[in-house]
Amino acid sequence: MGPAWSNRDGQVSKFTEMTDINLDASRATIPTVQQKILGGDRESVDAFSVETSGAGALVQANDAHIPVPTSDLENWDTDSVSDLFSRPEERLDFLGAQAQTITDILWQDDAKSELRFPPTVYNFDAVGYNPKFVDEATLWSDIFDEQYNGQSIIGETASITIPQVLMHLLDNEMIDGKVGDINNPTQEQLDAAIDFLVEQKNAGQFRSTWGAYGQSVNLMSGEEAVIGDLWQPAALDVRRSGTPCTYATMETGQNGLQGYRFWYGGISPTNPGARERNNYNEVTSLINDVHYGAWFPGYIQGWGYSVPHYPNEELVRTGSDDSGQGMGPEYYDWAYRGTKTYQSVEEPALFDPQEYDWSMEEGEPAEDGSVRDSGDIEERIDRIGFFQIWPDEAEYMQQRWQDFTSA
Amino acid sequence: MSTSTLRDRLFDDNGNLAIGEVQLLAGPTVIWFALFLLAPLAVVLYYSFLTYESFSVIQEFTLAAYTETVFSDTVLSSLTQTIGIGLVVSLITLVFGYPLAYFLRFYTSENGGILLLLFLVIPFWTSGVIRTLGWLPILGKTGVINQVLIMAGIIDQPLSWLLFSPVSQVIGYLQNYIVFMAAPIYISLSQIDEDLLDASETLRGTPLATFRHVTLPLSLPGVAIGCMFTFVLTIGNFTVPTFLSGGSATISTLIYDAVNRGLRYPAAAAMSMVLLAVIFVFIYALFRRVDISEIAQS
Repeated sequence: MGPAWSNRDGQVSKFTEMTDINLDASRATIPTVQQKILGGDRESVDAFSVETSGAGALVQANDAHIPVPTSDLENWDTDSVSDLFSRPEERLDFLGAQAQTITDILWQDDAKSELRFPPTVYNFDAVGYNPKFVDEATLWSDIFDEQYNGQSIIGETASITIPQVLMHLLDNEMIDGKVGDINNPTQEQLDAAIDFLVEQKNAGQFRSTWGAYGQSVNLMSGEEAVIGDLWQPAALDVRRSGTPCTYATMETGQNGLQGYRFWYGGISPTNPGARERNNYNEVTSLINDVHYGAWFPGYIQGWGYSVPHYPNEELVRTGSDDSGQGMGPEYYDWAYRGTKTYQSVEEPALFDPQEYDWSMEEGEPAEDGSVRDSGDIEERIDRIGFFQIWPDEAEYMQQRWQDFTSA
Repeated sequence: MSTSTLRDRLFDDNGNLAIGEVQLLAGPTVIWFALFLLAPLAVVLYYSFLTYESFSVIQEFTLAAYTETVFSDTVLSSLTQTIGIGLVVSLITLVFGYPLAYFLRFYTSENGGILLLLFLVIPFWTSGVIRTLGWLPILGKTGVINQVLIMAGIIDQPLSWLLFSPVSQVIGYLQNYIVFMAAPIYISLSQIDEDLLDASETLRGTPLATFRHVTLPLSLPGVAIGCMFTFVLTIGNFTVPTFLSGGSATISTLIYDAVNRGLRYPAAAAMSMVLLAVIFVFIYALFRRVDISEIAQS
C-alpha cells in the first residue's frame, strides 16, 4: 500500500515478472496509508510505502514496521550506496542537527545494521517556474518575490511549506535560528513562518494554494501561476501538457541557509502483517531485487527520482541483472553527472526524459544537448537545505496551520 | 423494563401481536436512522471528547478538542465565514431559482415544466468534482471566457478575478444547487389553487399585487425547503472551496485537514458536532417561521 508515485504499475509488474508472485498493490495518499495501517490494516497488509515526513507516524511514533537487517538486502552495500544514506552526518554536516534526523529515520539501531525505513527513491525538490514569464529562480525566496504577486503557488502541507518559508526567513535574517532548526522548528519559529505566510496570502501573493499533485500541475499548465514549489514529476507533467516548465537549480542564499528540499521514499514490511502472513522475504525481495536492481533507476528517473545505489555504476550505469538493463551511459551521465544529452534538444523547458531515445552506447554529449534540471547529483547534495520529517512540534504546527489555510 | 411488561406491550390477551400498523410502518425507518444516523453521530460525539497525541487517539476524556480547536479564533472566524457563505449562496440561489421555478410553473405546460426541471438534474450524472473542475478551463486565465474577450478586443489582459475568487465560488455553488432551490419552489407553486389567482385578478389585483399577496406567501414552504437544502449543502461543500477558492478554508475543509494531516480525529469530530449544531439551529429557526407541512397536506 502506498501513494501513486511509489507504487507504479511498472514496479508491480516487474516484481511479478521476476518472482511469479502476484502483488496486490493498492494506492492511497499518505494520510490514507497512515489511517489504514494504524487503523487495523497492519494485520492484513505486507508492506507500506510513504515518504519521510509521512513515515514518522508509522515507524517512529508507532511500530507499524519490521526493521530490515542490511544482511537481508544483498544489494545494500555501504560502498555502493550513496553516502547520503551510508554517512549522512558526515556528508551533510552543513545541515547541523538535521543530518541526525536522517539517521534517526533511516536506522533502527546505533550499529546501523538494521534499516528502520529502507529507502528506495528520493529527490531534491525545488522551485518550478515557467520560463516564458520568469527569467530565473534559484531560491525559495523567489516564490515570495513581489514581482510574482498573484502568480505564485504554494503547497498546503504544513511540514513541507513551513520549512521552505523558514529557509527564506532565516537566510534573509528575518528571524533567529540555525540551520539545524529548519526541519524541526520551535513554536516561535513556527509562529513566525505562519504569520509570514498569512501576511503573504492576505497580500495576494498566491494565485492559489495547492493540496493535491494534480492541482499544482493544472495551475502551472493553465498558466494561472508562473512559479511555485513543485514536485519534479509535476514539473514534467506540466511540460507534457505543452507548457514550458523549468525545475530550478537551487542556490543556498546569502547566508547559505536555503537549498533543495531533500526527502526519501521507502518501503517497510508491515508489523505484524508481513510476519504473520509469512511474506517478510517477499517484501525484502521487492526492495532488494526490484528497487535496488539494475532496471529501477532508469524507470524511476523518468519522473525525476534518484536511487540510493546510483554509485554502483557497474550495475546501474552499464550493468544488468534479473530485473533488466541498467540505465546506459547517456541516461546515467545525464541523470547523475549533469552531462548533456548526446542529441540536440531544442527546448529544454519541454524536455521529457520518458520520450527521449537514450543511447545504450558511450557517446559524445551534444553542444546543444539538454542538461538534467538541477544538474549533477553531488552538487544537488551539496546544496540541500532541508530534510523532510514530521517535526516534534507537529501538534502545535497543525493547530496554527489552520490560520494559514483559513486566511 | 421487566420481561412481562414488554410481553404485555407486544402481545394482546389472545397472544396476537399487538404492534399497530403505524409502528410496523415506522419501525424500519426508525431502525435505519438509529443504525446509520444516531449511532455514527454518537461515535463522532464520543471521539470529540477523546485525547489526541501524535497520530493516536487516547481513550481519556478531555475538552481539549473544543477549548483548543473549536473555540480558537481561527475556527470561530472560519465558522462565521462558512455560515455567511451559506446564507449568501442561499440568497443568490433563491434570486435565480425563484424566477426559474416561476417560469416553469406559469409559462410552460405541466409536463414541459417537469421535463425542463429534470434537465437541471443532468449535470448530476457526473461527479461533483468533475462539475467543479469543469469551471477551470472556462474561467481560467487561458480559459474560454478570457480568450473570447481578448479575441473580441474587449480586454487585453486576462481577467484574473474570474477564477479563485468569490465570483468563481458563487458560480460553482449556483450551478450545483439551483436545482435544489428551484424544484421545491416549483412544487409549491404547482399546488397553488388557480382559483385564488383568478379571484385576485377579479378583485382588480395587479399581477404584482397577486404575486405579493397570493403567490409568494403560498410558495414560502417551497422557498424554506429550498433554502434548507442550499444552506446545508453549501456549508458542508468540499469541492467548491477546494478547487475554486484558491485556498480559502471553510469549516468543512478544516475538518478534512484535521483528519488528513496528522489524523486529528478528536478535533475533526468536535468541529463536525459544532457544524451539526449550526445546521440544526438554522433549520429549527427556518421552520419556526414557515410551516412546510402545507406542502405535504396539499
